[in-house]
Amino acid sequence: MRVILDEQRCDAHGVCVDECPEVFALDDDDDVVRVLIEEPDESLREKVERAALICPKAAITIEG
Amino acid sequence: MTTADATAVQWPAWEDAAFYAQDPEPMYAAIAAQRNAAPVYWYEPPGYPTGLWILSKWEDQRFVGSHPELFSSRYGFAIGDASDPATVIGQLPEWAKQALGQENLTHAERRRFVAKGKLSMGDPDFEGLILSDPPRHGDIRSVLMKALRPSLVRSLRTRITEIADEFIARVEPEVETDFVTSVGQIPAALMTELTGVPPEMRERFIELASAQMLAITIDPNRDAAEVARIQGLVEEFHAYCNELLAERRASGGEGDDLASIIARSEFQGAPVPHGLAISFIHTFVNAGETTRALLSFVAMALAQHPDQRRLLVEHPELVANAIDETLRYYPLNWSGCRTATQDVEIGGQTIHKGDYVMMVYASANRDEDVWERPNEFDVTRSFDKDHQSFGYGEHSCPGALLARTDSTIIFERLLARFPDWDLAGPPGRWGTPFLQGMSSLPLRFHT
Ligand code: HEM
Ligand code: SF4
Repeated sequence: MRVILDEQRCDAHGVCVDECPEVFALDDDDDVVRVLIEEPDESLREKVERAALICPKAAITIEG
Repeated sequence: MTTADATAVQWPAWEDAAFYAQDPEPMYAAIAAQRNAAPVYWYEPPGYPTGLWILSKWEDQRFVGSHPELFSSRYGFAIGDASDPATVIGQLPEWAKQALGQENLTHAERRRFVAKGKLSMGDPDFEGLILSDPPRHGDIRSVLMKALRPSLVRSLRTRITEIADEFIARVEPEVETDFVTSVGQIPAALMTELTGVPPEMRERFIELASAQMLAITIDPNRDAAEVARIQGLVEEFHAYCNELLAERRASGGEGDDLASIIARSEFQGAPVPHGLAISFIHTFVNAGETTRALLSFVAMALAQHPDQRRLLVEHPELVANAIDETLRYYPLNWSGCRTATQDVEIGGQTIHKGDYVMMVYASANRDEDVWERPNEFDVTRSFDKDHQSFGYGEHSCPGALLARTDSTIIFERLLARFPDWDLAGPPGRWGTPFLQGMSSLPLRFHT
């Protein structure tokens, strides 16, 4: 599984961080969210999918 | 194709402000009837030059929101933008009247002139986010996000709490209090302060901003006196915003306020163009008014559901969720419209290039395929799937974090001071087919 973030779209409001802090991170001065693990383990699939679903900007896609 | 006559319940008159002013129960029954019988429905509003597609399902709206390349925002964003231009020309500025006088315009081009005309307040260079498409849309939006960046919003928590406490301290228990003009005023006070409006002008600014809320929706059924009243206020509003911005530009824009941030920001390597900067200033000031409307609906919902309010008193950590449940249950922005850039099939219907599409967010918020007990107000509801009240995708609300932060703090403080309140009279509503709000909400607070 590969996580792709559309940085142009991301608002950095951080909803994805609440859903899956293992993969997404946001510091106070970040303008876009950071993807900590580009190819997360299968065990995180459900959480990453939830993050992609809840992202209001549709900025997260999952490949594979 | 299914028609309205085929069902017992009359289907919604989407273009008619009166439809939205009725009791929620019959209104949502009408919406559900159409959603279940014809989730993608070609509707022809009486008096409109052509019809539009009504998208009622959550899933279909998510598709449209995340495909701005298939569904453009350039050609209108509200149902009224598709009115017959002849019926709304009196509500438009000179440049838009002239543009609409050209021959051989498509329906989509007419909608753009109407939509941009009503937002522009006479300024042909005005450029609104909601009327732009990628890639330019993303560039514009990132300038706005400099002013609304999460770190800044988070840093405001203390100041929001102070202002909230100051307003709440003025509310007296056991006497009739209008929520809209008391606690409801907090976000407007905050936004004018943040924007950098001088203290002596704030009250007038707030009055003008509420007229601007009405002007965002164009409505052929508005009477001439009301049109003139709104136009007068809106012109004054626009003039004030221009003055504020000019002042910040002249002084180098060194302050911390949002007007200064915009004045010193760059767009594609040059200072932010005037038409864009001015639309941001409008946004900041309007933000106080949309949040006022949201707070009013929360206060009303909690007056109508005392059991839910008691739950929040016992579990203040649920307040943020209660804000989202209210957004789902009583949306402010009822819908968003887009224009198809090519033929697209949705729900077995072919939407043709140039067709206007309306996503009824309020309908998605009650979609039986997404929500359990959709007509129940439940502050413990799980939002694994988000409501549509902030829109979705490319144009989803950039102010959502600020609106949620404000509202959560305000209700945490209010519930701590007054665990109990009830309606002291019937609420006053204002509304257009695009935006709903409250003009008064008489409450009685108890300690
Ligand atoms: C308080 C409750 C609010 C609600 C319910 C709300 C709702 C919405 C919705 C539904 C949209 C999408 C419109 C569409 O899809 O056509 C939107 C867009 C927008 N909102 Fe909000 N909003 C709120 C507060 C705010 C605040 C506080 C701000 C600014 C500080 C703001 C600024 C904007 C802007 C600039 C857009 C256009 C975004 C774009 O086109 O990219 N809103 N809002
Ligand atoms: S939820 Fe989406 S828009 Fe928000 S920070 Fe995460 S990726 Fe960015």
